[in-house]
Amino acid sequence: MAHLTLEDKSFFKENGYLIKRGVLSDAQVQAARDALWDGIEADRNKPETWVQAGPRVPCPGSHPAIRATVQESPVFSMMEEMVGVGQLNGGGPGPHLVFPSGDGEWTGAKHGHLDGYYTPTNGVPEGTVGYMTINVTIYVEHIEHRGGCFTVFPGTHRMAHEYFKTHSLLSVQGGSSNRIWSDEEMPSALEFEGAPGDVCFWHGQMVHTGSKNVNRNIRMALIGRFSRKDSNDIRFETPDDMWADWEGLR
Amino acid sequence: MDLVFSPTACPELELPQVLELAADSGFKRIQLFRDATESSPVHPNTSVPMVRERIAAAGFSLAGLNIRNLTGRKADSDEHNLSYNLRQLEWDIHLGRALGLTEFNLSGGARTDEAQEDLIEGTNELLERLPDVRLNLGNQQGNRLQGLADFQAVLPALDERTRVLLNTGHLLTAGEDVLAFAEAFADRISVVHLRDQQGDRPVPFGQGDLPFSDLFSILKGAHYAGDFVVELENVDWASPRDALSAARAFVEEAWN
Repeated sequence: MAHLTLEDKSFFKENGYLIKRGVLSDAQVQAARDALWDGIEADRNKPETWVQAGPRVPCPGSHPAIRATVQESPVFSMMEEMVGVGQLNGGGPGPHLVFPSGDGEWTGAKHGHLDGYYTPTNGVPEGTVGYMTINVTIYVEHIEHRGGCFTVFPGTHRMAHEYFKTHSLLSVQGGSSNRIWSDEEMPSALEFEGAPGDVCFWHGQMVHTGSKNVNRNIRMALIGRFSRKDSNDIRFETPDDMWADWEGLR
Repeated sequence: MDLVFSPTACPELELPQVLELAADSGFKRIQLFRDATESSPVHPNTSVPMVRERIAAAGFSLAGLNIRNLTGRKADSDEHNLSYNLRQLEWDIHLGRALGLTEFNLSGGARTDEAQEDLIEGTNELLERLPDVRLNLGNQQGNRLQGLADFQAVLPALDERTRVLLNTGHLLTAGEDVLAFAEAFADRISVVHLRDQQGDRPVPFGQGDLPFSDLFSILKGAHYAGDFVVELENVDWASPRDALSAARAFVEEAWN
């Protein structure tokens, strides 16, 4: 059964992201949220203890309830509808929590970054760039404006594709978009606001960022990154048709 | 016998200029270096498809890529971390595969027992992961793979798809016997980097300490069919084009 419409697919191609609401069941959301709370160093019933709490990764992505949000929900099938059935490596998401800051100072982002780039602390080997085909951000809590929303810059997947036709993948230090484009060239940021079970799919070369959380809720997001099985054969290619390898979007 | 242009003769030139110089000097094949040359396929203003297209448009073929060394260590902190280093090398190899290559040149790390163990383990692991690839281990002065004894210590433990890159310049700099090295590994040498030197100073081919004739006899005896990469590193001649043409002519005459 198809989960995505032609309009969904067209939207993803144009904008580089696609938000689908209520993809996870209440039971899946609850199980994932419980797994996260088991590792959070705060009192679940006392929001005042959530401010600047931790850790950002309170349980591993291998936790069955976390992995199930992709592998036992429609999420993986939805990605396959775009990329092609059987084309993606398996895997699951990992928790990425942003705790309330406790203050009210919030500014929107002008720039973000591309994933897969080396920094001295992120584990990516220097002089390499990780390759992702499609990524997904799953909310297991209500996340509103100024609440640490996962944020994308629509259209930057097409800008990146054009850029890398004439530049090395390694030319973007840290993957930071301000190394490539000026403030004026960047599209406006779009905050993914959502409810538990809502999902945002985003292209592997989409500029994105997190943001400060000045709300009450903990930004409980699960982020998964997925690559094609033939990544090693295509990671350096920039075909004229950037969707040439996406069976569902050609 | 194919002669290959090495951009180490002009490390400051970007790929289009390198190809122009190589063509003017009579070459049709070129080798690239990931590091230390502006013609690197990871130059910021170059994509891999651009490298491929430029080489093809110039009527050249790509003979090889020199990737990072298998040091077993992180480059930014020098911390021992073999798996990190192997991920770097695997990335370089896939870059080379995108350029149409199946064999890659590299050397080892520091002159320590740990680096030797990493070289053996890492080389075999890479070849197991990448079944369509061959690795040419080259000698480098000051490296874990500096000379004859170093290769004798590791080659028996390495997969057959590990071959030897004989680099005459580095052997001469290290005070190693070039002919003894060639004789010892004649049937496993897959590529030769040629540089003539007086001591550790590069000189025009035929004017230095490299015994071209005896070396070529050994290689012919082993039915060597690989490339000769002409290296004119750190030379200071008025006309690099003339120096390259002269080196190419010298090698062709000496071989034939």
